[in-house]
Amino acid sequence: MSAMASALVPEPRTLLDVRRLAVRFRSRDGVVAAVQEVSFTLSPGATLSILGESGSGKTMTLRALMRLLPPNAELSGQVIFENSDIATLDEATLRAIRGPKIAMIFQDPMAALDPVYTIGSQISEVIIAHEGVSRAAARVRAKELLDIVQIPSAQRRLDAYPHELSGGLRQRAMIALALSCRPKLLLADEPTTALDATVQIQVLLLIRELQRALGMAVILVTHDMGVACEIADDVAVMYAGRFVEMASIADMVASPQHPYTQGLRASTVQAASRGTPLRPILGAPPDLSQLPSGCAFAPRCDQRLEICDAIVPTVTEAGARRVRCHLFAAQTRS
Amino acid sequence: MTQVLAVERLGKDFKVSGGLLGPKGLVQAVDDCSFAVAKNEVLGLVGESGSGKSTLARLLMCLIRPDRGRIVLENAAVDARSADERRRVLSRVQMVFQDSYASLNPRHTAAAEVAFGLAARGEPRRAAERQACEALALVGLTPNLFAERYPHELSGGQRQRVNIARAIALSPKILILDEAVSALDKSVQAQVLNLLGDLKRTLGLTYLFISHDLEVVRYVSDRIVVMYLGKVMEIGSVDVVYDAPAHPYTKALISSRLTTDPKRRTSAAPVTGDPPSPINPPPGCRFSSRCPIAEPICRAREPKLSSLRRDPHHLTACHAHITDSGHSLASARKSEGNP
Repeated sequence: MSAMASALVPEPRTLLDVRRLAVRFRSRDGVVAAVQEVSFTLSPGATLSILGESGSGKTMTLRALMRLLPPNAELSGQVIFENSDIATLDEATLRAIRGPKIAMIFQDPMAALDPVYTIGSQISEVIIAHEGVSRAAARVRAKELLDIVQIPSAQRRLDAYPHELSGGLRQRAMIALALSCRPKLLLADEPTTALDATVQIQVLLLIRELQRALGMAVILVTHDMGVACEIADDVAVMYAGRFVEMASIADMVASPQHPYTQGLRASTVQAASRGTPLRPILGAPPDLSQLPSGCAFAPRCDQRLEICDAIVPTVTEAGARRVRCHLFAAQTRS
Repeated sequence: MTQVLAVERLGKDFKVSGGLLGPKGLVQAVDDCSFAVAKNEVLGLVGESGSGKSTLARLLMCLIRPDRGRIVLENAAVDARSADERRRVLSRVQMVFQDSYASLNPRHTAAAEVAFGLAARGEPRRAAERQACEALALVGLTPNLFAERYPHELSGGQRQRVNIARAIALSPKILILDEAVSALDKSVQAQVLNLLGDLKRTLGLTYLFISHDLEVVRYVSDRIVVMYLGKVMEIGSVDVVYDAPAHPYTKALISSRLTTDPKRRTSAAPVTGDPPSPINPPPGCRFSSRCPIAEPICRAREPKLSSLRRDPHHLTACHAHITDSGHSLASARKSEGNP
């Protein structure tokens, strides 16, 4: 493509621009740094998967984007969504964003849905609150939404309570609820982790299909590289509250650069691992209230340099890849 | 091959009273289950929720009594009604559960937890403590550092090691691992899987490995049993079942695994819908309501678990594989001679 032609292609618009996001919890026992220095941008319609183990801060990052944090959490940094900073918005403006602009789905639909209202009335309530339509019109929309998420006999299910649905259908109902105001960004926190294998793939395919049809961006938190492989454009790997590596899913799978990402891959059981011992990462993740002074992964890292124990690595960019690692920085420089 | 444990036509029902207005019914949590575990073998047991995996584990531990069939432990049938018998079983069959925290006593140190079972079996206190420390060392927890720690002072992986130590301290003939690594993070899961492999080799252990994670089951098992709504659908060696599954359910389950290559994503779900409620399951084959090759015979008559013609060690319960079953894909007995 010539320089002329590429100049005519507009710069991809940014839907979400997160800068130096941090979440801290202050308690009697000290300060817990749950999320630190998280920066990324997301284009409209793109899918980012945040991959991490328990306690890595992936859920806190996701919740911070919508400011759905526990009351004792301290949020800093900027979350710029359509020219406004969610981190500093007042509650009323925030309410107008939650639902119509950004919606969220959770791992446990039973906890996210209200047990004493029918599926139909929960979805209608959201539509009425945000769009001011009549009850009858909202119910028609609710039925359409159940059709969109492929719930069979949708008309009948409108009057079902959450406990009357199977796990997969409950998850679909929650997705319908999240989509009720056509959000531009869907935040999904381990949406398929609690589902059976044959149902998990159905729900992932549904999210992928809806995203294409509605042009919606998705940030999906998962601990399973397989989920990211099915759905993500880009992946961010989190460890001890930081993004340690970010790349396109294809690059991340083909050649992980951060020693933690490499270790994660070697630990994961695959068809080829049969008959050979796995190569686990030794040790356990650090206590977030007593992080080491250098790289948080250094105590477990098998490629540690001297500098790793002393200084927290900054982000090194190489093409579309961003890695927080002294070794990678040294290799990229040379 | 010496057989350690066998179940023969085992069945367990639970009555469901659906409250004031709900439907009453019967859950056949486990029905007509037969298989055997050979010494030093790892038998994988896979199935989705409601398939009866955990009920089966509890039956084997004599935590609940079977309604039908029998359990044979070291060539002697187990009578789950007698308390003495249950004690005999518990010293030979041990179990590790999914929730490492809930399965440890919060007031016991790691050493006390492991010694408890030994003491209950009649070991003197000193000997029990010594053996407990040996067991902790075997699972990679240095007694000097870990013996006096309480569950809340341990990480998830370390707690699961204590659970494994407690189980192997009693030198069981078979260890039931019920989703024992499912709740662990990948890096820790790999450590525990390696440990289980080492222990099996050094102590000559036999495992019944129950999991919903198809990759993990493939990694650890020699043979696998696939269950669906309380029934055994397929039994065979891991390589055969993963490479050439016979039952349509097994096929669906195996092709539901997520891709490892983002360039080759799954384009269509192998089966639609959820597993139906185990209360009052459909007549005939329990998978018939979701099966892509179901025919009238499948809804009318329940297929029996039978060996495949090409491989007597590969069993499946599907009319399409039963000679003369009436299913259009089934072979007929005299097919060669017919026009």
